[in-house]
Parts: sequence; C-alpha cells; structure tokens
Amino acid sequence: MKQQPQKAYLVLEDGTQFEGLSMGKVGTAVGEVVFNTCTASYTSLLSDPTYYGQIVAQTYPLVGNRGISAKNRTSDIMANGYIVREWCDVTEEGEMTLDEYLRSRGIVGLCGIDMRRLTRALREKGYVKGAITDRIDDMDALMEQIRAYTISGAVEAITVRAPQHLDAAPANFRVCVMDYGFPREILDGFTTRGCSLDILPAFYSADQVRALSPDGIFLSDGPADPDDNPAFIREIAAMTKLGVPIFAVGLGHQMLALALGAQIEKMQQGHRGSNQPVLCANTNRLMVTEQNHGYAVRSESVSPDCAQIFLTNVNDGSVEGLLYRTFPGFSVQFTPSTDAASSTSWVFDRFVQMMQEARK
Amino acid sequence: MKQPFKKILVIGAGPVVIGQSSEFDYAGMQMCRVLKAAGIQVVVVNSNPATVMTEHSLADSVYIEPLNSEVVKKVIELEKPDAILATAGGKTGLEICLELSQNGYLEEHGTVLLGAQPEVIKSVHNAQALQSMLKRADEPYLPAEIAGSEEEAVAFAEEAGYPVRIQAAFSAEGGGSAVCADQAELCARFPEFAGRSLVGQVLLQKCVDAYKEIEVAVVRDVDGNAISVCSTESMDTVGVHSGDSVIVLPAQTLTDAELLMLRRAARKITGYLQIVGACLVRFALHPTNGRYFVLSVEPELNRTTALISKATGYPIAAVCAHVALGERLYEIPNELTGVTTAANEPALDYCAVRVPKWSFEQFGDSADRRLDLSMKATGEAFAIGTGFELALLKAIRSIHPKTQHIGLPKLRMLSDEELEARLRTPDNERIFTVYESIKRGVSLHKLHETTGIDLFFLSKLQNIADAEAALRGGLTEENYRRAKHLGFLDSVILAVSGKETLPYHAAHSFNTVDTCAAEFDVRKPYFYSAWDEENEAAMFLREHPQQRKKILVVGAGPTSIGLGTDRDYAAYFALQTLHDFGFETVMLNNNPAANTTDFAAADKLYVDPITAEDVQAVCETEKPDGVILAFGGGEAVRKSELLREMGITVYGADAEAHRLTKNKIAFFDILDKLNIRHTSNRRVLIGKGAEVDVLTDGADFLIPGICEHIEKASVHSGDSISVYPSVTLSDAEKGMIVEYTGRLVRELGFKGLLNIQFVIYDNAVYVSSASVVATRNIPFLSKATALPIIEFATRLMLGETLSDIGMGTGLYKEPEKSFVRVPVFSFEQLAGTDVQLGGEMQSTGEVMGVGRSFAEALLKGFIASGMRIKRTGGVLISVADSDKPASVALAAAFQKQGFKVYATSNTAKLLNANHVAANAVRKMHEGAPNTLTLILQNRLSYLVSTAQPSSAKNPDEVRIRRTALLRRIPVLPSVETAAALAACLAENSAAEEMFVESL
Repeated sequence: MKQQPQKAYLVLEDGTQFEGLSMGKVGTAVGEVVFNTCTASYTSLLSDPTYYGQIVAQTYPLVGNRGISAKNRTSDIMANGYIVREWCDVTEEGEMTLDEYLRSRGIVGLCGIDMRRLTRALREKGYVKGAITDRIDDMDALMEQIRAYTISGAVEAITVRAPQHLDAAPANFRVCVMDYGFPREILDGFTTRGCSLDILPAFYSADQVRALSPDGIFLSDGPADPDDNPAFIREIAAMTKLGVPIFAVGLGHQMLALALGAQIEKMQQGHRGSNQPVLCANTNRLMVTEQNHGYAVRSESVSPDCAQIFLTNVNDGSVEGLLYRTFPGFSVQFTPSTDAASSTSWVFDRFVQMMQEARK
Repeated sequence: MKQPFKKILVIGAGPVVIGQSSEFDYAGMQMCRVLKAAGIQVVVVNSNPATVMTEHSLADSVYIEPLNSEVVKKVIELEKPDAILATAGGKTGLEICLELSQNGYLEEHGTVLLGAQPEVIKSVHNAQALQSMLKRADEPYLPAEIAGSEEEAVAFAEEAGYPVRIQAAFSAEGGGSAVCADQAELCARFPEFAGRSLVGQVLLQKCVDAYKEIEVAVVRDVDGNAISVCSTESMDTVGVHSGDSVIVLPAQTLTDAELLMLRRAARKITGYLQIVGACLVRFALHPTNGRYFVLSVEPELNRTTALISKATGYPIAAVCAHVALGERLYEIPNELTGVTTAANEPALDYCAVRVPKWSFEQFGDSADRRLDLSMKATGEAFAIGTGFELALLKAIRSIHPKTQHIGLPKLRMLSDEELEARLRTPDNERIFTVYESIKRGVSLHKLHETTGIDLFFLSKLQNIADAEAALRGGLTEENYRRAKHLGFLDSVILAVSGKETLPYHAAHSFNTVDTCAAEFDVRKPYFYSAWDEENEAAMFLREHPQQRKKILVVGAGPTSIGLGTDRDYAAYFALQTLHDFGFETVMLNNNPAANTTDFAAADKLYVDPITAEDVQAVCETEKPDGVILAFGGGEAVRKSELLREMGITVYGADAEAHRLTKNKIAFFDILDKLNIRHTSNRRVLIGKGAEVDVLTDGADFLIPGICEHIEKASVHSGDSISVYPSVTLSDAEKGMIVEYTGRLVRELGFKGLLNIQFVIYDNAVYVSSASVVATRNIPFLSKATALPIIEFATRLMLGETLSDIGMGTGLYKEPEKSFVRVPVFSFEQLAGTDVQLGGEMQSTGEVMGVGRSFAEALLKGFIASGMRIKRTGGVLISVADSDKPASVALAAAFQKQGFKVYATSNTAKLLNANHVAANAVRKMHEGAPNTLTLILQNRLSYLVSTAQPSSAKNPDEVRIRRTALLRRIPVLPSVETAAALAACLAENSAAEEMFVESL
C-alpha cells in the first residue's frame, strides 16, 4: 500500500471514533454503518443496491488485489462509503486501484482501522449511524449531521423510472419484476429458464401488473426498512389476489410477509455475508447463502394458515423463507445464486414449476 | 441421535516421512476424540509410537503394529469393530481400505468402511483413474499420453498446447523429466527420453508449471450438504510442489469469478464422488485467461486440511468424524463460537501464511536443494496476520528463529547475474532470493516474468523492503511504527537502523481466530498477535478472571529432522497433565500439523513465533504464573532468563541446565568430578550405544528403561535401532548405567526429564552426552513400559517428588515382551542424498515393533518401517575395510538361510577363504555385468553397503545405494543392522503367522 499521509476517521453516532487513512475521495460521508464478512466480492458489493445509503465495512482484510478493470467495473456505486482494512496498489495495465476507482466515482472511503473493534461495536449496538470524515475539528456539527441522517425514499431513488423489457428465447413465461432496487445478476435465473421479463418501477400498481397478464410476479430485493414502504405493501397485498404465482427475495420477501399480516423486526445482529447457513424444514437440505439485511420476519407473527416457515437460519433460527398457503408463491430472505451448481438456485426452478402448475 | 456404532477401528498413517508429518496424527486425534465423546469404543492401529492417537486417553485399545492389510485384518478379527475409519491414515490408510474391501471380507466380518469409500479411492489414486473420473464428471484434466514416436509426440503436443513435460515411460532408473517449450525442443529431447525407456516410449503431459496452484477443501455430509471450507494459494506456481511453497489462505490473487468457479468445481467433484467427509481438490489456474485443470482430488485428511483447520478454526477432521457417523453439517456445533455450526463456511478477517522448513543441512552438500514437483520439506510453520506482510514475517521467523527476518546475509555476496540464475531455478532459499532481488531494485514486473510469482506477493515483499530501506535511512517514529505493523521485530529494527537502543515502543495486541470475523462472540480463546487498537486476549482475561494457576507451555515450532513430532507429543500430554491436575493451560506454538496447535489441546492457544519478543508479548498479556519450556527444545529453553526477569517461574529445563549439558567441556568437567567415565573429545570409542531417559526430582530418580542401540555408537542415536529391554547388556553394565545416572542427577539437582547417552566399550560404561530437552525416545519407552512418562515428568517439574508419584525409584522393572524402535528415512525423496548413517541425524520418523521375543519385535519393526522382507534371493555384501572381519559371520548367516551371497572381489576372496561361498561381482568401473546389473535385474533381496562415500575408493557406491533404494531393495547401511536382520529372519519362520496384540 502506498503511504497515505491523509488521516481519516469513522465516527459513530454514540461518539465512538476510529482512526485510519483516507481512501478514495477525501471528505465526509454519512450513512448507516454495516459490516459484511464476505471474502472477495467487493465489486458486486459496492454496486449492490441493498447497500443504498449505507457505509459498508468489509471484514475481509485484503481488498482490491485484482484492481478494477473495465470487465469488473460496476455501473453505479450504491453505498455511501466503504471501509476496508487494507487495499492493494498493484495493478495490471489498464486497471484502476480501488483507491483510484473510488476517487473517480466520488466515494469516500477509509482504510487501516481496527476492523475487529468496529465489527464488535456494530455487533453489539445493532443499528448504527456514522460518518467517515477527514475532519473532526467540529464534532458537534458532525454528530448533528449523523443523528439527522435517515435513509428515506431509497426504493424510489433507485427503482427504474419506466418499464423495461428483457426477452428470453424461447419465452415460455412472462414474469413481472417489481424493482425495489436489486442487483441485476439475479435476472439470469429467470431468463435462462425461459422467462421474459418486464422490469417495473416500484410504484406500479397491482392493476398495472394485471394489465400485463403475467405468468408470475417477482418481488425483488431492495434497500432499507420494509416498513418505510406502506404504499408498495398495499399493492403487493392486491397482487396476492391476482391468482398469479409470486416469488420474492429480500426486501420483497419482507414486504410480502407484511402484506399478509406478518410483522418485521429489527434484528439484534443482521445477516451480512456470504456464508449464512439456511435449512429447509421440508427437505432437510442445507443452503449456504449470501445475505445483507438487518430486518427479518418475526416468526411468531407468521400465521400457520397464511404461510409455512419452511426455511430457517441455522445459527439464530430466524425466518429465511415462507411458503404461502393462500396463493401460489414463496419467498426467501437470502439472495439466491443463479449458478446451477449452487445450493440456492432451486428457487428459480420451483418458481417456474409453480407457474407451470398455475397454467393447468 | 441414536448411535448405530459401538466400536470403530481408526487406522493411523504410520511413520513420519517427507510429505507426511504429524498432520495425520492430528486428524486421527480429533476423530478419536469425537468418537469417544459419542460413546463409541475406539480401537487404534498405528506403527508410529510418537503419536497422540495411540495413547489410552484417546483410544480404548491400541495396537502398535505394522500397517498392512494382513495386520489390520487380524485386529478386525480380534476386536470385531462395527466400522473402520481410515481417513486419517493417509495413503497407507487408503491402500489398506482398498485391500479390505476385496473378496467380501468386510461383509463377512460384519464391518463397514466409513469415510473414503473404495470406489472413490480407486477413482483418484492414480493419474489414469483420475483422468477418466474427471472426464466422466466433465471437469478439465491435464492431457497426458504415451508416445512411441516423434510424430506421435508432436501430434499430442500440438493438441494439448506447449509447453509439455516429457519423461521416459517404463524406465529402469527413473531419470527425471524435462519441459519442452516448442516442437524443436520436443524433437531434440525425444530420443534421449525414449532411449531411457525399456520400451522406447515417452510419457508426455501438458505442462502447467507456470499456472497458479490453488487448493479448495470441501466438507460434505450424507445428505449431500456441502460447504467449501477455505481456499489456499501457493506463492510459487505449479512447478514447485505446494508442500515446498509459501502458501497463503485464503487465495489472494483470484478474481471473484475465478474463485467462485474453483469452489464450484471442488463442490461438484465432491458431490460427483458422493464423498461423505472431506475432499481436497488441487487446481492449476492459468494466470490470466481463467482456464483451469484439476491436478488432484484427495478424499483423505492431509497436510493441507490440517493447515486449513488451524488457519480457519474449522476442525475438518472432527467434522469428518461427525459426518461419518451420519450427522448433518448443521447438526455439528462449532466449538469455537458455541453458536454456529459446521454449516457455516469460515469467514476470515485475516490471512494466514505457511512457510516450509527443509532439513537439507543434515545431508551435507551433496543433497539437491532445488525445488520441483516432488516435495522435500520436512516441516512447516504458519502465522496469522491482519496483513500478508505481518503473517509472512512471523511465519518466516517461526521457521528461522535465529535469523528473525527475511534477509539472508550470504545472498548479498552474489552478483546480480548469480541472483537471477537462482531465481530461475527455485531452491530452498527462494523467498530470500526474491527478497534480495527486490532490495536490489529489480522491477516487480521483471521478477514476475522470471519467477511466475504474482505481482500481489511481490508488491508485499516490496513493502517490506521499503520499510527496511526507510529504517536504514534513519529511525523515526513513523517508520518504526510502519515496520512494526509489517511484522519487524525490535531486534531487526535495531540491526537495520544501526541503533543501540530504541526510543519507541509499540504495544502488541492479540486478535481472535473465530471462524466468523468477529460476527459472533467466541467461547474458545485462540489468538494471534497483531497491531490493532484493542487487545482481545486482554479483553478475554478481563471477562474471564483467572480461577486457577496458569501455566504456559511453549512448543517446538516446525518439525525437522532431529526435531521430531515427539516434542509435540510430549507438549500435548504435558498440557493434558496440567489440565488434569487443576491448572489453566496456555499453549504457544506455530506448527500447523501439530497436535498442540489444535484449539482444544489447551485452555488457550496462541499461534505465534517463538522468538524472545514474541514470547514476551504473549506473557505480558497473558501473565502466566509459570512456564514449561522443556518440550519446545533448545530454542524454547533459551527464553528462560527473559521469563524469569518478567517474574514468571520456569518449571523444568531452563537455559542454564541446557547450556551445562550442551557445553561438552563443562559437562565432562562435572563427569570428572563425579568420577564418571566419559568419551572425552580426544578418544573415539567405537562401542555399543545405550541410553536412558530418567525421571528425577533433583534427589531421587526413576529410570523407566535402559535402551540398547543396535548400530555402533558412532551412528546418531536417533538413527539407531533402539531395543528395550536390552538384549546384550550385562547386569554389571546395567548396574553401572544406573549408578552413573544416580550420581549425575544428584549433582545436577534438576527436576523433570533427562536423557543420558552411554557408550559401552570393552565392558566398561562411558557417558557420552546428556540432554534436558530430548524426548525422542519417550513415546516409544512410554508405550513399552506402560508408564505415563510425560505425566510424571510434568509433575516432577512442578515440584512433586518421586515418592509422591509412587512408582518407585531406580531402574523400573523390565517387561516380558520385547520392543524395538526402528528409524525411518526419507532418502528416496531427496535426490543427491546417500544412504549412510553418521553423526548427523537423518531419519525423519520411527516405527515400533512389539513381539514376544526380540527377534519377533525386530522383524515386525523392519516390516513396519516399510522394508520388503524376502526370504530368498541374493544379498550383496559391499563393506568398508573396517567392516570386513564382521562380514564373514554376516555372509554365513544369510547363506545358512538359503540366500545367495554376492560380494565384490576382495570381500568375496575373504569370504571364500573363510568357507562362505560367495559369488564375486565386478564393481561398476570394472565393466558389466556388475553390481548395478544385479540390482537392475532384480536379483537382490538386500544390499549391505557400508562404504563411506568420502573414503570409498569407488564413488559408484553411492549410485548403487540410491538405485537399490529407488527400486525398493532394502539398503542396510551397517553390518550390525544387517546381522540383526539375518538373525531375526532365522528365528522367525516364514510359515508363522504374525503375532498381533494390543498394548
């Protein structure tokens, strides 16, 4: 790593301070501070819309070893800030270092802090706001800025402005994708299974969806607190009455559960990493899943008449998946992988199967 | 869960040889522990006494027997186990599994194989089988083909792509391989290699030497649930065996897509083979284009799985034992966190670096120190750091505690050209050569081109070099802190900056290895040093106030020849004793294959180097009441003064006692004072060797047993066959040994364990040396006497007396059975080494033979050591002049049993003159047919060859010995060993079944 003369800090809302070195843009960035334990996927991490408004701290210590090339460069960085222990300054021809990349995108970053101390602080405190800054001379103003911070309108800010269509060949099914702000990689799971997709803005109503006469509806993942979006939830409730199979992931899963009368709770410890073990009660199959969420469906609030909790987290027993009884559909908390060899890609097959059954 | 198994047989891996150290014992130990905890009766069979798994605290019954299917079948018939677990038995274990699975033997005896299944073993155990399995599984394998003509060879190479590796197919003498970069080179080399083949053919293989070498470990349960535990990456490319390379975990230089691809492939192969347990898949990955080949698939526990277990805190072997019993990954609790399960893939917030250790210096200058596709390292150390540099520097000083740094002074003398030449041919000083080049300003891109080492690693070395250069330019607080964070010791900073004292100080912190990147609070404290703001070890102490007296045990670090796994064995049982006697235990060690670096071995584990600064850092945080250094060897006991200055009590051997026994002049002065005969430097006594390990409380002593050596005392005692009870020592000699031992222990006033070496010459007993840190004979003697010697030693160190222990004093009673300890060598793996024994120890491991008579025990020891016992055929006797007189009786003994005796002209004349019919054979330089012809024509059953290469009139002697060795003809390097073999063959008839009994 190059000598970085510029000091920078992370300040949490309770006043806890971490001293490190500036990375990327020099300045101040405020956001909800979360950690993620995944190993290497910093490029997808930075562009993951579920990190919208957040400052992401990656516990894995050596980041950016392969540089940023045109091939793995992400379109938009969704996170407000990025914290790593150490970034690598070696690049091949035509590659940018992580530092250069963040600077070019105007993202404030921080490196060289005691990451374990931060992880412990976040683990114990739950929901924590904070700021990366190069100036701590006016703490009062900074603390005010941190306390005033809220993530609002996250979904509205990043959902598509107008419907987009994605064709599949052959197109056996038409799936409406409700875009609450999600990484696009997941769409391969549908298109490779013969689903043409209509990616719809989050504010689209159930009636607008029905007008497209889809075979299925996919409620995407997205950032922030599911309770922030009552209007979407009302429309989702209406969608469950269309008789069309619904599959939901992440934020979509939580809003679907809310739409059916279940409750959401803020987790003591969010799930943020690529190694969350999930077990299926019906098949006893284990899944190793990627997750990034701080809210979960409260298991006591799920009425057995409404849905079966068929997936749970092995570590903390939290709800990871619901199989609905009042309409054809299911939802999962994790981000399924589209890799057919993974332990989670079955969700796409199951959804396609549901759409097939609904046709009969 | 209801347990279907009542009794399980666990098969061990046998002796330590190059490529196979204590990692198998570590795996076996974990498995035994899991099985015992599940209420299952555990039966262990292993030939290696220096193993923890063969102790009664881990196994209900123990068989120290040769590891072959004949013996294992006898054990099965005696014990009638419900199941057999051989996953911790290395290649030996898998071979035995294959043999057991034949002809319905298992069904007939109502037992099943758990872990690796025969079909799986068969599909991966050789290159052809692997290729065909990978083909079926649709995974890329390395193209290989046998070619009989240049045209065929070129056609293959065109298709597979250059470079290709060429070697002789079916060659008599091995003969190595070469890499051909293009057609011209291939055509040029073809005749040479085809000529070396018995059938005029060559074996061609696509050469991926320049690819990255990545390994991925997968664990899978009976339901097919699988996780990939971790990936490893070699700093060197595929052309250097991963066992000889610096390794980092997790892999560092792969893109997301590449890492996902390899993890996916590893899981796919594990699933395809339906493995219930662990599977290690080794890949060659092209440095830029993302293409890969599967190099090997290993369904057993090994060095890499041990390293991954230690580096991640995920105990792969224990999980394997659980899944073998039918448990699912999500049902197996993670002992480190207490809240997660084996279904959690470890999340690392650090990196671990493993550095190999070689023992070439034991073999003199002739040993070939270059690195290639076959492994040569004898040991390893690892270190964990928040950055690569910190982990690397710590690992390097764990290997070289004296050097303390990555620099090697002698490389400064090399010219730039010489340095570059050494970079092109990797050798055991590679990392130092690369570092020296960086210090000289060679560009990283050029180094990358020359060595194939990824820029990532080179840039980290550059960071270290930059920090060193900055220190050289002047010591400032900033560059001091920078250097500390990268892993420099204060002593190195002083030396580099040329200062006498340091005006700055940086406080160590300790981080936890928790498998979860601090996501959860941990239950089990396992630490490594770092430079973070919060010291987690100190935090743990605040949250868990000390309840009991706390003892730190310092380990021995990497295994090497002469510093064997016996120390790890001893330290492990010292910890257990301390625990049983109500102490809190703390372990400091850095050997990933060791039992003592298992996080369950002590109450707390620190993985760090064993230099003064590192030991001091641990003690400053941990504040132990006392420390035991004796089982860490010389390097550890040298820390005693430092520790005493810190107010910590040192129990057992310390620097003073060590110096006293190591310093020959001072030691012989003491012996003179005590009126003990000794082998002073002026006299060389070629007599019989004997040794005792004595337990002492400073006044009284207990000798568990006197061991006699078969080879002359000039052979290092570690390379000598050790016999207990002694066969030829007279009562008077034994009495003298006991008498001298008594005088010495009373004079030294030392508490614990003392090893004394004797020479018996002309009916008189002489003391030749003593050691307060030697444990080599202890595992063997412990098993032979059934005395828990380490437990007693530990208790004595802590202040108990022999009367407290209550096993009497003086010489312990001798058993009726006979026991021998046979050294095992790894000459085959080390080109340029000669099968000759001398003052330097050369054996890498040991086996134990147990019998009703000495001859029976010895024969079993020979068999267990891997010797192919034959009762017919030829014996070539080629001895040094000094051995000529003894060769007559030897030749007669072999001849009497029907062996055909061959000898070179002079010896043959002597034999014939003494009425032993011997066939004269020409020496190599006398033209064919000659001694080499005998070997190549498979006419020899044994080669007795004792001529020292330096004094040998004929240097071909070395070649003869190596050729015999590579053709697996037993080479007997001393007349005494050969005579013992002849005698035990005579006394054990071939028809007799092998006697097998539990200890």
